[in-house]
Amino acid sequence: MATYQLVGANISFPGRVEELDIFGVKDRDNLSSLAVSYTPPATLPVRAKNWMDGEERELEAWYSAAGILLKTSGASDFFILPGGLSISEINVNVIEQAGGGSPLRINNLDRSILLGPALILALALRGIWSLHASAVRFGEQTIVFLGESGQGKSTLAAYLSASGWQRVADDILPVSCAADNILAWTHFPQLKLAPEEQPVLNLPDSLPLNKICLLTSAAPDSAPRLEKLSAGDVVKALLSHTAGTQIFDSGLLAQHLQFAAQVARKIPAYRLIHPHRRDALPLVREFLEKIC
Amino acid sequence: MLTLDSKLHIPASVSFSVVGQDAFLLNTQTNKYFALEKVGARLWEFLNEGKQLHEGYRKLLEEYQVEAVQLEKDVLELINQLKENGLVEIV
Repeated sequence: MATYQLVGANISFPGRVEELDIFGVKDRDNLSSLAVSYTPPATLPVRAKNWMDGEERELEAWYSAAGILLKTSGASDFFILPGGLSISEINVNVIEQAGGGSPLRINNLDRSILLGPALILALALRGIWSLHASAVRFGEQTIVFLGESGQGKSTLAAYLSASGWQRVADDILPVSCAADNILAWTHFPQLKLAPEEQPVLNLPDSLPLNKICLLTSAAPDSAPRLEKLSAGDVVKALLSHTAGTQIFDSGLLAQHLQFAAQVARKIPAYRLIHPHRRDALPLVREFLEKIC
Repeated sequence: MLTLDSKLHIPASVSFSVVGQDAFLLNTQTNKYFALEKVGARLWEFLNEGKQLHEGYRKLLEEYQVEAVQLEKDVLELINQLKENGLVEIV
């Protein structure tokens, strides 16, 4: 078993996940498998297609009061306890054990499930929603960039971080509602960034989220512009750009809708319409600095 | 047949949130979202407050500059769509 400090809590995993080493492995001696027998509930599972380990696979999420069972063909079954602080492996599929007491390693497919749907569901059980987004910090202001793939979320975050801003997230930003504000959680693996680029290295565990920016494309020869986004459009953007919703059950979907509504009421939001040209980025930066 | 005098009920399986001028509805039986804008969202607010359909219709007539006949047609069409998607029930 390995325990990592992620998104404000210790979460135990069935074995070592190298991508999470930066989050402080506390214990990696034993493989964690669930000791209780589990009978799937009578209700049908939530099913979704997911790209995992280079292949599209069907994922099943069986919800019960005891927790969530995740099943994928060819992979181990994982069980997420209520509260989302423990992810266990029910039947161990392919585990490589290096010799001499080295940490147990998890195969690629299982790792992609653990770092993807399993972790996202575990966070959702704690009311933390994983936005498919990049995010940056300028002064005391944190801005999240939402948008479809290819709209320049990572490019913009990388450009701004090279211009003195701080990158908070590259691909996934966990976000939750607190009593007075909305929190962006920084201690989460950004899998497309190198270990030395991980935002966790320079940031506190959580930051207040101040602005939302929805990226959309403009014609290549046009100038970028920034417009206010209505609260209704913010809800739509959050519903569309949250990871893992295809495997949420109705209870999680209802909570997620309330989250999106709360964020839309509290956070000013903008639509950034920009051409995908590098020479337009300085003007984009100026726009963003003005709203910070 | 649905009329403005029909009595409606929002089932417990519908979760919703009103944000600005929009209402977002989730049917937890089908896990499908629906969005209502402006007039539709306002009507939903009235129904959620326990107002009957004809009361909601009258309120909309007061609040919006719209022909009564056109509004009746639009309201009944919307309620039919909500009913088909399990978001309201006729009692």
